[in-house]
Amino acid sequence: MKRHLSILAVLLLGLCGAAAFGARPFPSGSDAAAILAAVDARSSGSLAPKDMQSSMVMTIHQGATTKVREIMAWSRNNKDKDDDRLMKFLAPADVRGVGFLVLGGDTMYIYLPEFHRTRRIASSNKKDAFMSSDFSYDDLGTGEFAKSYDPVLKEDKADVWILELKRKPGSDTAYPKIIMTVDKAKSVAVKSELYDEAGRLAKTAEQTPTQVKGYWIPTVIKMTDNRKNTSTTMELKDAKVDQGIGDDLFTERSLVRKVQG
Amino acid sequence: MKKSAVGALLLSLALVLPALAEPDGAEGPVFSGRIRLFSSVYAADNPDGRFFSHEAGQFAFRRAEIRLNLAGRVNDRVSYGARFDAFSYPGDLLQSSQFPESAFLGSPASSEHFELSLYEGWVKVDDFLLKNLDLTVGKQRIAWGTADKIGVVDNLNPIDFANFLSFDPDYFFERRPQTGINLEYFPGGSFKIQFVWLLQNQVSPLPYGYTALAGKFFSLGDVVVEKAWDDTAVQSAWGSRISARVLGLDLGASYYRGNLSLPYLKSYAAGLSGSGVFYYPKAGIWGLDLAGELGGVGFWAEAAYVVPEAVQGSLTVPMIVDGTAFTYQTRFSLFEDSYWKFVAGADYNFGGGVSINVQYLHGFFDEVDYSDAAQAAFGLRTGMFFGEPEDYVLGRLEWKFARDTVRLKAGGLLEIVGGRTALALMPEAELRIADAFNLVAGAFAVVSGDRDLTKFGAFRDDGQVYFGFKLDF
Repeated sequence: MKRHLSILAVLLLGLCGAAAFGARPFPSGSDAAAILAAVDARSSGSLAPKDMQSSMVMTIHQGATTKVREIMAWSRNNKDKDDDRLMKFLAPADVRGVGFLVLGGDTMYIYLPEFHRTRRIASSNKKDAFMSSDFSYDDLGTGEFAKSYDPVLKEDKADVWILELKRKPGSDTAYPKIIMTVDKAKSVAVKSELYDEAGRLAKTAEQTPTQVKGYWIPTVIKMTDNRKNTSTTMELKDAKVDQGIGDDLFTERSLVRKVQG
Repeated sequence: MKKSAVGALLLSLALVLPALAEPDGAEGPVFSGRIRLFSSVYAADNPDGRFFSHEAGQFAFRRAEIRLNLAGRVNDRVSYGARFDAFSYPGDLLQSSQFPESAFLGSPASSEHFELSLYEGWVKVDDFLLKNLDLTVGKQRIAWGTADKIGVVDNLNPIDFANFLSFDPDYFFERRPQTGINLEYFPGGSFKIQFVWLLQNQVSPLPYGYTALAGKFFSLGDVVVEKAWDDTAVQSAWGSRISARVLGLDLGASYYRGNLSLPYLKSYAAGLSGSGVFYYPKAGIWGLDLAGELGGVGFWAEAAYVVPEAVQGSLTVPMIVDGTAFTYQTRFSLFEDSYWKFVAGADYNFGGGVSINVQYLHGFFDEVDYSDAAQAAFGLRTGMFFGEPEDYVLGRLEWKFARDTVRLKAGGLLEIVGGRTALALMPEAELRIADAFNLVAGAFAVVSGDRDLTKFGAFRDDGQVYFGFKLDF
């Protein structure tokens, strides 16, 4: 199973701390692997919400220009693979009604309302920008960091740990190195600096989590493209978790149905 | 529409009515739409063209288009949608009038070429009668097959041949919605069973002057297009398809029973000016389709096994033997018993906004496999419209950059007829001025190919450049 960087493990389902779960499964001391395991557990693992529904507003900043995209999204946590996700584009007008279904990371479908047509799309399309934003489809992938990266603890500050993640040999994640800032109190990644193959800082993801039913949900995520000097802010609204979303939501039938009318 | 078809429609509506009474989940209606202008100009002189006669710089096609959509939900189970298309053709005066003269004082209506059509209008009921059984009634675009636009198993939505020859890229290989009843059953997982019954036979929109064009194709002075079906419910078209995802592959199998949507030459009477009778053949079409991906490369394929209804064609020739005039007529099976059409394609995204899409097609939408006798009698061959199935390679290289505000496309179509080829290039540049507002400019140019012995080579002197804008709201 192809693994993807979980910047938005920290995102759609992710960044979900377990403060309300009583026990403090936080790692202690300087065990980088344990810190990363805790981040994974909250973002896409056993301590993440089982499912989530939310509306998203993406604001793309490019110089003086600002563009807004609106999306409805549903996601479901999968134990051993990427999340299942269903998205419905609400704005701008030329993509209104377009739907996007991702099953476990690599099986993707797009629904084109103009033709009432669902089309399978190749996973190579994840290299593209997501709705012309600073997020790539790959950035939206949800998987465990520990499966793709070897962590090293670089700094142990008062409130945060700084981890350096290096891509494991054979892994196909987009970024070979990540500098991740982990909030000690919440055990969530609040900042991730993403480096490209040439060793340059490519993007920076910053998240502001809010508690929803005990989970830390990233209600504001800012992705900055450090090379282009552009940024996109994604704001999650009306997040609902653990609603018992069933298998039938993540189907082609639902992809068509959810984007009609 | 005959009583039986009307009865079926009323029955469906009666079954839908209980679902309409459910109160919860009403939404809309939501209105949306599009304003679009498209203009094309010939790039070269072609005073004696086979299909089009023009001078360089002359407008080839102008169209202003307004699309209005509305969609909503009556409740959680019942949704509806409609789309109205309005077209105006600036500069295109009424064909029947010598001058752009109004029909009434103060009315410009009849001096402007204007059309309004109901593109689609449907009602959909989820969980109709049974859980996981969805019913859609009305005029609708039916999804059928897995190919990327150029499919061979979709015979439920007839190809828009009128727009094909306008070379407007938004309508290239476009198909038209049909009025019918569409039942989709989802027993579980990705498995789906679909049954569609259309309330009419299939007719493709034909280009303006089609009769004259057909005369040119076959050197006919007189062309008759015959409606060769009884307009009864039993005779109308239907199709069924099952599909599922198996081992990561989307697989489908289908059957269509109905008529082909274009008219084909059935009989030819030679004379001072030959005359031909065209008709819409009936056929059963078995289809197989699949889609999947391997190593990030998306792929898809469709195959259609066409079994035309056995029909006799005829050739009538006046003869004089020993000073006596008589008519010689020969009859023959019009089509081969069966034949294949297929398409296979792949796409890949290289990153950085660069992607490629390539498709191999055997059997263009207008091509059928006539019998050897019919080919000999009518002069049919490959490399002509309504001729024998031949091979094509279609490709598109696309580059999006500047945050998707600029999109450059290099499209092409290679026609392969035996040892001959014809190559059409379709470059296009699209600029996204603002969200939902695009400017587009491009060209259609056939750069190689025999003018007489290839289908697209016939358009070598009809190259066009086009421009337009599109605003969605």
